Amino acid sequence: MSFNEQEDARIATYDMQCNTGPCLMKVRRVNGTVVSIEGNEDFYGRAAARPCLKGLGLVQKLYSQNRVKTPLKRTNPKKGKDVDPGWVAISWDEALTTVTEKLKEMKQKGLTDNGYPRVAFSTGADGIPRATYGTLEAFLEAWGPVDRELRGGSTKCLHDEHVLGEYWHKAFMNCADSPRCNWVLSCGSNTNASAGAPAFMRHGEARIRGMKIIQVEPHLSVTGATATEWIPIKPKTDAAFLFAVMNVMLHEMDWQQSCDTTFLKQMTNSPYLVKADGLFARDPQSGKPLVWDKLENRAKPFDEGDSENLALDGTFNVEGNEVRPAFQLLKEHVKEYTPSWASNITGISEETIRRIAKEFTENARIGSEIVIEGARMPYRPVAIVMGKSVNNGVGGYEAVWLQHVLITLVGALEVAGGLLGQQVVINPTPIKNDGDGFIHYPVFPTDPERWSWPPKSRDAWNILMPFIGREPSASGPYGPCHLGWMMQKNPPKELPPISPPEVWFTYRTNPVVSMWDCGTVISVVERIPFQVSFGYELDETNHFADIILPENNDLESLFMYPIGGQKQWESFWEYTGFAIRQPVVKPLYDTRELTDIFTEIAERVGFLSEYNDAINQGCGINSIRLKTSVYDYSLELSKKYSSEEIYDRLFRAATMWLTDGKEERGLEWFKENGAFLIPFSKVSGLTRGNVYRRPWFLHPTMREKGLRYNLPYQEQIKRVGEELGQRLHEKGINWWDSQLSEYTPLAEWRDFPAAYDTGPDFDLWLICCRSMQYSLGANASLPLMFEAAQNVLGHTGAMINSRTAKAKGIKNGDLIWMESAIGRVQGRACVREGVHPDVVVTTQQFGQWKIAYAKDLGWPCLNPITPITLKTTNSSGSSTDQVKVKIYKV
Amino acid sequence: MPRWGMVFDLKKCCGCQTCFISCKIENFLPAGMYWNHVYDYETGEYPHVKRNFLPTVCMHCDEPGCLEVCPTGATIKREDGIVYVDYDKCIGCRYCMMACPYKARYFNDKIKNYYPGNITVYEAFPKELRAEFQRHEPGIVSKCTFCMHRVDRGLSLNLIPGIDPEATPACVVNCPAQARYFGDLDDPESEVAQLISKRSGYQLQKHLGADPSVYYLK
Repeated sequence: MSFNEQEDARIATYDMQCNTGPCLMKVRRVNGTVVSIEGNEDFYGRAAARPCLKGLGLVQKLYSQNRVKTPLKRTNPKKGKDVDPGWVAISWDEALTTVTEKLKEMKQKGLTDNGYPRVAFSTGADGIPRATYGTLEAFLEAWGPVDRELRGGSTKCLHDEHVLGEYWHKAFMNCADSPRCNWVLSCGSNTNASAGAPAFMRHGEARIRGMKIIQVEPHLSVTGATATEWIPIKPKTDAAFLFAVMNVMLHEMDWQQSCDTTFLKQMTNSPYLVKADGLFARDPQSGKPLVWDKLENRAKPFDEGDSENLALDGTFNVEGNEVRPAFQLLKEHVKEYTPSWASNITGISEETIRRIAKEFTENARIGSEIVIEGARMPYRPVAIVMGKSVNNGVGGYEAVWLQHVLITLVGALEVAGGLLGQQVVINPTPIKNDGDGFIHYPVFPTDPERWSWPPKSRDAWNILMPFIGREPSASGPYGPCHLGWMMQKNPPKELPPISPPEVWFTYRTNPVVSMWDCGTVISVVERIPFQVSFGYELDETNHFADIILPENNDLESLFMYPIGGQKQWESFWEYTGFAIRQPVVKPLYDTRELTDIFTEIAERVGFLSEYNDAINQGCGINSIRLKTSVYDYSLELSKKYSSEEIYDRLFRAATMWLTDGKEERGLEWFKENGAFLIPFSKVSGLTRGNVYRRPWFLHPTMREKGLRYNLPYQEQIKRVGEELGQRLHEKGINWWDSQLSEYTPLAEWRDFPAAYDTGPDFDLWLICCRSMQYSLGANASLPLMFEAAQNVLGHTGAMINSRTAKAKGIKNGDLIWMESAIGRVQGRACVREGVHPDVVVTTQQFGQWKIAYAKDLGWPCLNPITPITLKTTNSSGSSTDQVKVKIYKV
Repeated sequence: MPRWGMVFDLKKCCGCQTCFISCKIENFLPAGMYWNHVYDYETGEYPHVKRNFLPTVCMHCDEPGCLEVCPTGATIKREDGIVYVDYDKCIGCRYCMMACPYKARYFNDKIKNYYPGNITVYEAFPKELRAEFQRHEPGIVSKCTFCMHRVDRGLSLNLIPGIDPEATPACVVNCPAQARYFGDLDDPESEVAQLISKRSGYQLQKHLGADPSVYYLK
């Protein structure tokens, strides 16, 4: 064996190609060439997982022959899918001069006559670009109004869970307490494809420990493969299934036994008294919601005395008004949702529904407790988790409400073993009381004086979605971006006339193929006068660009990102801190550091001072301010800094912030060591000033602050919905009425599948599943990833149940059409057993026609034949990757 | 002398294919060449279906059928149980492929680059800096070596294979699910031996008598 090594370095950096990262890694560089990547064992298990194949694939991503190697300029003014842009290589100076001149022009013009930003900036789905996009937030903050809603996949994420999870329990993500949970009901949550390397590790350990997962989904996914049991279900009927489980618990079982009544009285609004008008009965003096004390036989404010004797059921009289506890209303509400009823809708047998209800309540171990870090809390090792097509679109609100109400019924919310929140994005401030005893949440006002009108962006999220919050880098980008495309094609007459942005930036996003109804998206993109794309390779969206600015690859660039704690899906890290992404090799081509590009543009356009100030204020860069009372690393406003200078200050500020001024680490230290960590409390998280990193378990904080979860009764949602309806109707907007009907205090079943009906010819559901190998990785051009993906069952084709295939005369490998009401796509049939007979399944997200290699794969994609429509859009602005089709052989 | 072996925990494996890629990157495997597989297949009929993941590598059998049939002595079994191919002796007859009951060997018909017409910097990494079995040539048979370059280098640095990452096969070190283990099967205290003992580890097709060094845990 010969090892003729001259240089053999291992450089610490991170990989973030899905939303569960970053995964810390060491990149092996021999004589200047990256030859392999491994997990950074210095931090493994403490604050990060090992990188998955997407991280390892960065070797090929770095050296790919398909990279954009220099700035490019379009020479053909005509834009179109089949039009050659006529790319020519140009210098950075020419590229930036062109961009700068356009931005100066926009600066001078200001907003459009109708109040829309002339500049739009789109980033990719699921927040991945946050881990890579340098000083983007500071750049946008310094720039001014910008439309961030013309995106690809954000309404395909776990949208309702993000919004409602944050509303109810500071949970942008919801997750079983994998280290302790014993029984998980998973309604299509495809963790083995979506939850990344942390989930692989956590769930592997949990399965060894004996955790059972009941996977309820239309096709047997890679997650179903490792589940204890697969229960096939018809698409969009999960809410009916969960209603029936609740019905069994509250009407077939003795609810005093099946429910955690102590938790319901103490930690929820179950005892809050509700009047006939659907609003809480309130104390005339304090305005606080009332509860009924059975011992004292009187109504009293919810926070007076202990909760032991509060009534959960019954009817009472308060000052002449008949009132009932919220729990009583819930019980009455779900009485009609019987297993028999649900079985007809879902295809799941009554016997199975009853068994699931029984297993759920038995495994909850109501009454048991555990002590963690000195905090005593309930131990309820059960959880319910959901996939994106369950908690998005019509039926999304209902499903997420059912998930949370079922969990609170057994007292398993935010306690050991149960359903826990992870990450806070929309409402990232420390927890405080909203006055009604719940966690304060920044609901957009809907009263006449403060309602936000007119629309600030082309998807009108600020007028339509009061629960989406106000966090500038989150609320808009997580908004209903598909409406932005729809409204530009068919502008509602009630809104100020909508015109396309005059300048559109795209960064790590490809809406031309990742959004539904790609034809509509293209028709809008073609009309945008000037498009600037930060490009790694030529793709379907930058095909329409006027300028392409190639940024450094992940292994060539510099950034800082938070790690550890309860930061992301399946985190459960015992440490928290910051990690560095650093250049492992010098840029191979004429690419540039993203931060340096923003700095350069800010200077050229003339807003460098505002840009530096935004960085000083911690805008977007992990909210780390460069100046506090403890330290001062602030940038001089008029001085132009290199990215290395900026990040050196950021690292110093971050470590000082993290350690309350005790320890300082600069860029060189991070380059050497990779990450800086401090212990993270499972029960109190981390609070520094107004920045809050939530703990694993919220329960101790809730008890300490005397707070309750705003469940099951949604008085505020009902009130806000009514107000919002008034505001919209005053403007003549009636096309949002279906969405307004979701604002109910107790969610109701409606025929959600019917929203997708397009006639009897279209007899099958076309749905999709996530590809672990590709999802969020922007790696479709890598042949290496193709080699891995082809090993995954059905990945390359259209998966069909064997009986369905036989009935349609289709054999494995046949080329078939999948035709919806708006178009058709081709794919190879993959005949399987693990697919519901009513569905066809493809793996997202393909259908590329420009990206090298991917364009020749011929893998089917449902996006081009899925309409963008209000019919399937719900109140939070999400929709789903589902469409009704007919299939036949080519 | 240890007998190196691997254990796959099927309860942990989630079919992510990271091992597949890890092996390719570590060993400079050209396009179309695979030493490490995770099979993804179904059993049963709808609705009573089970989807399964089965990782495989060369089994490094104690009685390797591939060795017996090799006419040139190119297949070599080391004292520590690792079976490898001496590329200089292999004539590409492929008898070993016929003899391997686990289909773990691959014939390199020709060496393909990932980007036709171009060779990347990584693919062009000098062969003299690679381990011998990473110097792929057309017309010969290759297979998983248990990353013996890592094992040997690690041992030379007094590291312990299976415990120290640098001395352990790349697919084990990189498995995000920690579903792979490596170590000395003959050491009853080793993690692999303990797992096999406690969880009734089994070999694939044991009845063939090849005595593989790869065990599976259900």
